[in-house]
Amino acid sequence: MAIENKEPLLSVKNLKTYFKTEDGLVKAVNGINFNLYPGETLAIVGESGSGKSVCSLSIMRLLDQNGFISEGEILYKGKDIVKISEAEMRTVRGKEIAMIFQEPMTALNPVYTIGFQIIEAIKLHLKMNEKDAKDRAVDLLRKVGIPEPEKRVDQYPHELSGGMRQRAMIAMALSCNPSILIADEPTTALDVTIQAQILELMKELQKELGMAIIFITHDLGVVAEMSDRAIVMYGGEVVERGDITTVFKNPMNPYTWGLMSSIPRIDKDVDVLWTIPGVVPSPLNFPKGCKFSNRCFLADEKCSKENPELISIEGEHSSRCWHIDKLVAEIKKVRAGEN
Amino acid sequence: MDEKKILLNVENLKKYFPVRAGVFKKVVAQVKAVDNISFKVFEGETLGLVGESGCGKSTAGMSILRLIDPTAGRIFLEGNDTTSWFMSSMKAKKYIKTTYCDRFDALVAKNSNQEAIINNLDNPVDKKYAQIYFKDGYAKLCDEIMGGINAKRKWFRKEAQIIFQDPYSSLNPRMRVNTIVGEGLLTHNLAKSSEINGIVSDLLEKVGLSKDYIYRYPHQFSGGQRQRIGIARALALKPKLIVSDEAVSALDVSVRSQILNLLADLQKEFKLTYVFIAHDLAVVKHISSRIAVMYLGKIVELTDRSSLFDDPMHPYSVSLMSAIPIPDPQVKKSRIILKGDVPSPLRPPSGCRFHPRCPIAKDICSKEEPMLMEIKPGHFSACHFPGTFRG
Ligand SMILES: Nc1ncnc2c1ncn2[C@@H]1O[C@H](COP(=O)(O)OP(=O)(O)OP(=O)(O)O)[C@@H](O)[C@H]1O
Ligand SMILES: Nc1ncnc2c1ncn2[C@@H]1O[C@H](COP(=O)(O)OP(=O)(O)O)[C@@H](O)[C@H]1O
Ligand code: SF4
Ligand code: SF4
Ligand SMILES: [Mg+2]
Ligand SMILES: [Mg+2]
Repeated sequence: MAIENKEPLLSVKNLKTYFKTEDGLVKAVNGINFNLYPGETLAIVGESGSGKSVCSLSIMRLLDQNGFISEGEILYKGKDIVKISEAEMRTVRGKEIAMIFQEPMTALNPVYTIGFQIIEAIKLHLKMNEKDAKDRAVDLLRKVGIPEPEKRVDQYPHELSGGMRQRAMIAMALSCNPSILIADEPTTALDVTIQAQILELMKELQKELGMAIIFITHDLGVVAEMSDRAIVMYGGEVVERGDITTVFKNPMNPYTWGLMSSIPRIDKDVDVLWTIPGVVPSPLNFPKGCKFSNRCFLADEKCSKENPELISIEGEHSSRCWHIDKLVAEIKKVRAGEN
Repeated sequence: MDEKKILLNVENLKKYFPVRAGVFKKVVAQVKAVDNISFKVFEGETLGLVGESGCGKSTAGMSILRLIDPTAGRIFLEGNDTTSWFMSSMKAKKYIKTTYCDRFDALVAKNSNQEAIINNLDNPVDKKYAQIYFKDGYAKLCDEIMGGINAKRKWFRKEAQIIFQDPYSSLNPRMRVNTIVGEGLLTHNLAKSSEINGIVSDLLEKVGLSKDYIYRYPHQFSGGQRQRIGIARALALKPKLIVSDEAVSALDVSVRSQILNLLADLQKEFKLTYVFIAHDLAVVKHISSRIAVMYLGKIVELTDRSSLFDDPMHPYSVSLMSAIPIPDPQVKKSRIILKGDVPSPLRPPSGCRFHPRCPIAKDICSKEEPMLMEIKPGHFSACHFPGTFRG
């Protein structure tokens, strides 16, 4: 079924999240739109500072003190969770929408045992008694592949290895059968062989439990492996959006293309890597017009004056760029040279 | 035979860290961070050192550069045994006695023909020292190795440089760029202070920074720019060898490719030799001519880049490569998922250190340690069953 005909589970509309800082107003997320459909995995890709984490923290309503959602809607099953009270949000957070982080210790409390933390979450949301909750916790730990779960349930986070802590955090996030799991760089701090274990685990759990996953990462290999669709962010904006094969095989935005061409790959040899000149500017220093215009190899005068809109190319596939046709011609040239 | 010149030769390098406990801080165990590794690096090439966190890559790099003291082993740079150069004179004498004199004496006891002994030694340094020892004795050999020690140390510190992962913590925040980059030139008397700004400006341009930056402080730069300053500092002394420890690991993708290209350009221009340490196999593959794969303090496979990827011999290398996600949604890999975690180097498994996780481990694997052996010319692997596991 075409994605446009499905009912989204989560719908982010024109979301703007800002931070008040000493240097000025940081527009970390500046008008992003996307839908998340039941059971799918949506990747949010971008370099550091592009607004990926702020986007997910906005959905969870876990922003720092100086941050606020200035505009936009986040519709969860039709209800705008930007507007609901904190008390009501607590029944959504953890139960309906759960989150896992790069660093498990941000989610796990070092002074309580793994089991205690999972049991508390279960008791709060699922109204189970202590014994049933403990059984469920042990089951969950087993399900995420922690050996000897009956023993581990009484251990403290520091007694587990990095990979096991990540598994414990996943167990905690899944303890109340959320319909959305937000995973913010969940494997970035792990070794590749452990990363492979965790990615495999997440795929299996999704197949079994059916939750939708928002997978945030800067690793394009992980994106290609895990997701159905992707949005690419730059400077707090979505610059490209589409199903995963289209975004990788047929990118229509110079930033997406540049990002993909910059990475060394184990399945291909190139002598000289493609580079995007310069660095991601600080959020207070983006150029006027298109935010990528000071680094883009196709930028012209128009680009430095006016920021293009995110427009649909074909169905879901959208890009924010004045010169898509030029890009397509360039890519054709490069690919012809490769063969 | 190939006539490639060996710039760096590392022989049986070990670095153990003592673990202390109790009131008296007694040594209760040893972390065998690097446990008997050997490799050669040819002039002008890049040797990649790859492996997962804690396998001993950084420890190996720092030991080679003597930023930490190795526990055992020999480190040759351009045919000089530099091992004892950074030891106290007492330790150095002991080293010379056990490494050379005792060994030569033992050979003489077996076979009194000194000439034959010298001819049978492989390492040219061994030959040279045996000659000196047989002719003039222990004192003269000490003299040969330790004489002019300050000049020797200085030479080593000039020729062998390091670039770190986090350029911020390795650049003095209170120094301006001209001092950071130019300092070494003054200590090594390679330039007058009036020349420093000119030289530093040239170096900055070489690494892709504006020469207007010479008076700035490190915090005024982005991560990628700081990495360039770190590279400029390493280049300033025109070294032969640069050890790069996760130099691009903290950088964003778009900046990382800039630095990788820069390192490749500089290598060509200055005929640099790199030891490139990284955990990211795709990055290591891109930049290296040969690659050593480490696991728990050991080298498990060592070969040129294409043999490693086309014809891997060690089950760990195979698993490691298979674990890397490929940025192409149409490539569906069947992945080898290793069980369990990387064991602690405090209590490494018996026999082959990989055996608890190895998909094809047999009885012998937990009993006997496989040695690093040359399976094919130039292709080394430490496995009882090399090449039998392909995923
Ligand atoms: N000063 C020290 N004292 C005790 N143990 C140490 C010390 N330095 C390193 N180790 C241990 O030695 C082993 C190898 O460490 P090393 O830093 O060389 O790993 P690495 O391969 O560089 O890992 P990474 O990819 O995380 O940088 C680890 O188990 C580490 O904990
Ligand atoms: N608490 C905060 N105060 C001020 N600025 C912030 C805060 N949190 C994030 N930002 C800024 O918002 C932008 C987006 O950050 P983030 O979403 O964390 O990026 P990433 O894509 O790496 O996850 C960055 O410029 C960051 O510096
Ligand atoms: S609008 Fe212009 S600057 Fe922006 S991405 Fe397109 S071509 Fe580049
Ligand atoms: S020696 Fe045995 S355990 Fe070790 S890698 Fe080879 S087959 Fe596996
Ligand atoms: Mg983030
Ligand atoms: Mg290291």
